[in-house]
Amino acid sequence: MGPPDDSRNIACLDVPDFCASLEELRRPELGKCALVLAEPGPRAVVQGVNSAARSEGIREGMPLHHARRLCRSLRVLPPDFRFYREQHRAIVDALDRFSPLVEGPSTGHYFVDITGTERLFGPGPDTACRMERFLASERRLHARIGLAANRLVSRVAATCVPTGDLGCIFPGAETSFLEPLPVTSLPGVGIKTASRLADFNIQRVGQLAGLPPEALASVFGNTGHRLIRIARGIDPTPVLPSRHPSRLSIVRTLDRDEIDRDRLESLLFRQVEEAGWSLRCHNRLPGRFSLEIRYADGVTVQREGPLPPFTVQVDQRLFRTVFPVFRKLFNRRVAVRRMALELYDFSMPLRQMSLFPWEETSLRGDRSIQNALDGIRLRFGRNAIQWGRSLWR
Amino acid sequence: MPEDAPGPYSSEVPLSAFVHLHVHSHYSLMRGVSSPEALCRAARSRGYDTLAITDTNGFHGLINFLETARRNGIHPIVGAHLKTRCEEAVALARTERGYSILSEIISRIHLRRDFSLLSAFPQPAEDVTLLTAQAELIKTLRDKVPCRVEVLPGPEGRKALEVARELGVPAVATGAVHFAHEEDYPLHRLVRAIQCNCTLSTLPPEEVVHPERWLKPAYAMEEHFPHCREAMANAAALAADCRREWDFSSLVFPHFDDRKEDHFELLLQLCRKGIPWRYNEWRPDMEARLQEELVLIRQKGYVDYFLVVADIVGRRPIHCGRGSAAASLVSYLLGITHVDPIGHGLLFGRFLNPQRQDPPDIDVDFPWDERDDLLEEIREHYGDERFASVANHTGFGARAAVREVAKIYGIPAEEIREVTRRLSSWTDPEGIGHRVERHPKFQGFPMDPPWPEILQWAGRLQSLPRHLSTHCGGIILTPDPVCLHVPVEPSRKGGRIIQWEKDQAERAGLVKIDLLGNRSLAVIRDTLEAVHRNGGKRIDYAAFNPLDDPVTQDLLRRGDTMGVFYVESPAMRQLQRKTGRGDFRHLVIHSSIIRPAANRHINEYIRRLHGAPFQPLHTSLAELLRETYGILVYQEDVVQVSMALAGFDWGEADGLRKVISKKSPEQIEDYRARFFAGCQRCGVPMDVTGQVWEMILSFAGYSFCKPHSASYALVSFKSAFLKAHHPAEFMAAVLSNGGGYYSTLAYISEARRMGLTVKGPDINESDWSAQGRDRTVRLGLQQIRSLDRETVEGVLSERERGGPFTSLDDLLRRIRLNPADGVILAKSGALDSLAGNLSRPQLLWLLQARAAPHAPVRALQAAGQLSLFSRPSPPANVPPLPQYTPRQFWRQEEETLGFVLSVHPLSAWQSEIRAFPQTAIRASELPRYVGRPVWVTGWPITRKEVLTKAGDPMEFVSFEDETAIYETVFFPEAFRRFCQDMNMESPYLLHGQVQEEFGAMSLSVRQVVPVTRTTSQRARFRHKTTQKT
Repeated sequence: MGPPDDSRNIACLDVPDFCASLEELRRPELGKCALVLAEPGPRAVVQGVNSAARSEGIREGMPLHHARRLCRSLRVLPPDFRFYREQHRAIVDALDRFSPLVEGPSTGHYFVDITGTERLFGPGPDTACRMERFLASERRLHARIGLAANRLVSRVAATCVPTGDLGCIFPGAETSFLEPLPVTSLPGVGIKTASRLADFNIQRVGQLAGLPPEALASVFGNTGHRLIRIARGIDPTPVLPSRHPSRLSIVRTLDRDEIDRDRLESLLFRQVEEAGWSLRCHNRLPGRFSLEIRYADGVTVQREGPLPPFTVQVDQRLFRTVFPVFRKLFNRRVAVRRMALELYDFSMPLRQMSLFPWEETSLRGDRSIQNALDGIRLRFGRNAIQWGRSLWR
Repeated sequence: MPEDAPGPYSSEVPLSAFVHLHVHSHYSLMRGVSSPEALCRAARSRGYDTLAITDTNGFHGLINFLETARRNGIHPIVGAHLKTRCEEAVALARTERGYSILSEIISRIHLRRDFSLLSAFPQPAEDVTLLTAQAELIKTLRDKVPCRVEVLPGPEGRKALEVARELGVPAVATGAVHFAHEEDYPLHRLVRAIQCNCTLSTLPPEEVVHPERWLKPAYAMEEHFPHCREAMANAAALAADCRREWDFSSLVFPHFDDRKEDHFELLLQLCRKGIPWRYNEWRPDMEARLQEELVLIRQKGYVDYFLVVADIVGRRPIHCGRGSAAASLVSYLLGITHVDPIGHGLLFGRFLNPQRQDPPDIDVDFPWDERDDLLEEIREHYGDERFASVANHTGFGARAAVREVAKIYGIPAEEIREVTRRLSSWTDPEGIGHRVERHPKFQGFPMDPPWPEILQWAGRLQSLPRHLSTHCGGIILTPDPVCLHVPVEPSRKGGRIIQWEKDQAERAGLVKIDLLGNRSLAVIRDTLEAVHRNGGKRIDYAAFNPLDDPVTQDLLRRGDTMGVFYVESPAMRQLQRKTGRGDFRHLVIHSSIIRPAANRHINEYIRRLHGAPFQPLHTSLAELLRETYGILVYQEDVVQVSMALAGFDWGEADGLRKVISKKSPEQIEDYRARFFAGCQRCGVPMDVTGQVWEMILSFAGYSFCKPHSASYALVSFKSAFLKAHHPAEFMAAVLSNGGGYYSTLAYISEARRMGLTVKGPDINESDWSAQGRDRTVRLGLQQIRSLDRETVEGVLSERERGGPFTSLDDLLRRIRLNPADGVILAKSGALDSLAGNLSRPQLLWLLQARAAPHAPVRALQAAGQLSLFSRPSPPANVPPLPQYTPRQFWRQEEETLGFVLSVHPLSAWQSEIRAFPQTAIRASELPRYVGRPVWVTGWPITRKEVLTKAGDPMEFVSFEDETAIYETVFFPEAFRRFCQDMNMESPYLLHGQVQEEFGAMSLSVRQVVPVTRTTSQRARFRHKTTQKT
């Protein structure tokens, strides 16, 4: 539990159209033209837009061919989420200079708890403005900032001002600030809740905040209490610094959506081989893995599992562990667009002998083959020798 | 097909000693992929003169096979692949009795899940030969049935040979053929993947056959059996043993009352009984006609058939006997049909004549909601064994084919919908790819890989039957168990269906009776009941004859016929308006002439009707076509004209009529040559022959005979009479029965234009269906979407028991109302009359507060002691919540009823429409702007896409605004530009030229602007740029 609301000072920095802005910065030749981010493919869906595209009526989630009909000069780029994530993490790290409590819950959104930094940086609004200027000068990104005594109000405040501006809500003014806003501006009020509230003709936050809690609870149950709290601008959740545990990600986005299970298994095997090679080179042993499949319709399924010790030392053994998980995940009649294999929970390969000698013999045999393969690849290149399974393309 | 080059009777290929005795056609549903035609052609081209088709548990395509085999010079062998849970055998029929035995066994396999082949032959049956590799089956059945061991190519064949040697039973080589050509294997895998609901890569191996299972020539089969030549020879010997001439031409009539004696006297008595009921005066010519019909009916063996149909129609007072049977006086006297054939000059020869070889059937329409009960009654009366429905062989329509193949390719559902939505009006998968390339709806729509491949495969699914469904009306009543004639299967509804569709049933001599569901008859029935309930007189449907009613005739003349049977489509309403005729004679002509291919002749008809001079096509046709202004209108006209001009006899002329209806290009070409040659022989000038032939071609697709049109026109008249004289009751009945051509919204608008008040559903006032009284229509509770039917029935029975609900508390106390239904009822406005001082939001609050899952009374509710809303005392206070704006009310109406009820839906868009710079006129003002361009607002209510002569798509769309319905035409250019922007759920601003033809208005559209919340600015901009250009 953090300190009481009125003594906290939390800034929310929101960079609108973060991913598209990064692409604009990365490719200045694009100029100010309408730009969208969409996976390659005939039925791509818009995943990010810049302000020029937004003014043409293009929105995230719209089919790309529809977006093209709205704007004939539209530029389309494939999204590079890895790059966006890196940039996002770099900003989180850079904001560290203003406060040790920086949280980046999603790309382009940052909470900075600047409570107690007055003596160091001056009043809260000045610090917030400095952060905005810092982003603009160092990163050439323009944010809108909300400053309030808690995360919720600062986040809403940030959405109420234009880019480059600061919305500052002083302690005690939360309720009067929120009152005239539509209920949908509250984080945590989704389409379903808003629709239920609309049934009762409750459109504004003030109407919601004015309801007796017990009356609201009689209809919404426990959610009613939460709704009252957020409508009244109460949010005690602290800002938690982000953690980035190390992970090895092998991600493959397919040029063309794939439904053939044999081809997908072959692709997975190649991912496993790449992961195994990389980990053996870095002398790391992962304790767990996760496999994520994104289907062509955007549905993403993911499963995690433990890795038996030393599995990674032999690609075939690693594959045998991941393979059943793939079979369980790939159970729809929809083509796959992307597969991501992640390995994490690393440790050094300090090895303990097995209790059972036959296991040792079997592992030793597999490792000999793997060592021979690795040796050939090291000398003649990665593609010099391959398992038949990985050749199915 | 590559190897089909030699003709059917070609002798280029030497005949083979081997015969395939285990062959699956595509009637082994979703397993075999070749039609009997393809198999026979392939067999012939590979040197076979005999072929068996043995589909799995069925004779689904037997009649087609026998005919196609005869055409291709193949001796057909009749058999089936019998498969139960753990038994499998091929059974070949050697005699007609053998066929009946197999038909019965197949029926039992379908009707009894635990059926075992071990018990299939209670009596020894020499008429059937069994081929199987299962030793157990052979051991048990060899004493009753001749058995052979089936030897397949490959390792399993070797095991079978061992069985044969061990049991001392002759081995017979087969190929277990599943496709005619080697290259059909991928199609087999595709249909298996569709059937198994998986992808090609996840298809279990046991679900597909080996790629070698195609119809191999004998030399290729020999290569598989170098070790047992005798198995090949045995196959040929068995084939010779099973070869026979199969004849299914004898007619199988229903038998009345299951008695064996002649029922002619009974038929005569019933006819005599009908004379005073139908006629005030019975003239000698009538008696002569009756005698003539009776003699022919007796000669042709139709006595029982008439009695059975009369028995069936006698069970339901409201019906409409139609088709050619309406030309029969006997039908009229028996009450099967209601049009006086003598009074209206209907010729009995169209129904039955000495030359007619095929069995004519009687079609009768019943109110749609009575049909199932009626069928059940018939089944009970005639017995389960003797009654079955005719099947439909349901194949793949274009959309289904594309959808199924796209699923195999892993295309997401949303993307599939985007494509299939654009295919909406196409029904034939053939050539989809070609049409997709050309159709405007796909303009600018990327069809990147794998779509071209998907469309190609989808096209190949054409003509593959997928499953059996129940034909909409055909039933079979046989004197003995149906399964002796054709195998029967259980239908989804729980009844029984035969394995043949109507064409095969007809060709196999099964005389069917068509009992069809008709919504308009239910509308008439409900209106008559409502009129009586509201204090009016009781009208007898059968005796009800409003043909001379001037008000009805006026309504038909004006074309104000929305809701009226068969006359309500935009095309028909326009025709009524253009002709300005509302009498029965012309309505009969209009019901028949309104055919898709007859547009040009319709225009000519209208001109002649309005006095344009014309010469008969040929002097010999002057009298024949006098009634129809020299234009071929009825099917009989085709028959009589070809008899008069080309010298055809009746059979040949009727054959022409049938061929034209079925649109078979080869057969039409054959008849064309015969027709032209005949006309030339008779000295008819070439240009006249050409004109007549062109008119005959306009009967392609569907057309009616005069008796049929007259029957329908009579129902139209009855329907129009009720609309004219009892509008509230009639429109309520139209709404209750789910309307017809238009949406509910369109019928509500029509009711308003008729000056009726339409009120929403109300918990105390509404019944299940809509009710009309004193110029007010009250919607029924059925109109509320997603409302549980049990809830409504509970409300209605409680209201009947305890009187109207006095308050919300009273309702919640008396009814076990589930929370979701409570909310839906409140949102639809049905509870407004109980709300007292509560606003609608407060009402919803109260309902939800009482139903909240954490309420303390949940335990009692769970125990079934209280309704979910029941509480001993009122709940916590309802907070003050403001009343909705009108827009919010409309939104809730749309959510719960599916349309805006309080106002016309265009009213909800007035502010957006006003934001456009164009000034729109009202639809009712269109006649003042003939020949001028106008802007008009409209809500689409129905649309129809057609092709021009050049093959370009265009569309007729009916729109309405608050004042009137109007018709629009999207010519190919406009269609190409706007077809992708149009849907049926939003308003539009239309720009076009007003056109008038014989008093009927239409708008030729040039521009369409969708009215949306966000695009009014954009539209304004677009308008300005258009003006500039």
